[in-house]
Amino acid sequence: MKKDKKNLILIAVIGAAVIFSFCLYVMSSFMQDQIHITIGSGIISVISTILLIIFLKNNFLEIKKGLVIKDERTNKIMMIAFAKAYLLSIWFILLLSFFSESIPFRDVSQALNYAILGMVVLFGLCWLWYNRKEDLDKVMI
Amino acid sequence: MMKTRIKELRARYNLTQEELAEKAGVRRETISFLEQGKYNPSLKLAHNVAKILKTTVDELFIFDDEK
Repeated sequence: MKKDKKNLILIAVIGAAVIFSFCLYVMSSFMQDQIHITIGSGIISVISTILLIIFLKNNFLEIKKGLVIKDERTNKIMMIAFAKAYLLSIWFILLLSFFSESIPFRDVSQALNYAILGMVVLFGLCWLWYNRKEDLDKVMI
Repeated sequence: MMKTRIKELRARYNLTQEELAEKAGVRRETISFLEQGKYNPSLKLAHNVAKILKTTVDELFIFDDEK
């Protein structure tokens, strides 16, 4: 139980740091008059903050009730989601490099940031998909 | 297709999903998925739940033969 609480605090700190850096990115894009990037990043920041708050609130309540936040089912979902997201990320990065000529990346680090963001989003989507799936045993990795 | 008698036995012993989850050391959602036959548990979890509900694994989980 204590380990669960520590893990949750760690997730809260990392999540807050990621969202804070995203906010800095929004501000720097705004200062450079990159309106589309500002709006896009702003929306992602708001959605991420809301999702993080909901996630933390639900899990803290579970811990308060004396329940665990990780069990064999969540571990299975995480494993499947990681594996699927990894495979999808390869395709995503291939597509990103294929269209790199037509996407106006500022520099290599921005392209890398998009690739990492894409991987995170893919993992989130995979997790949401498999969290609702009934027959986890029939999933082929 | 898997069916379970968890809901029936849980009601018999006046346990909520949360209470059963706490005793079995799993999340409430896992108990909910188990009750609906939407999750195949490990043998250890099946044994634990059966023990809490004072029954056996083969009485708790019923498998319909797939045709």
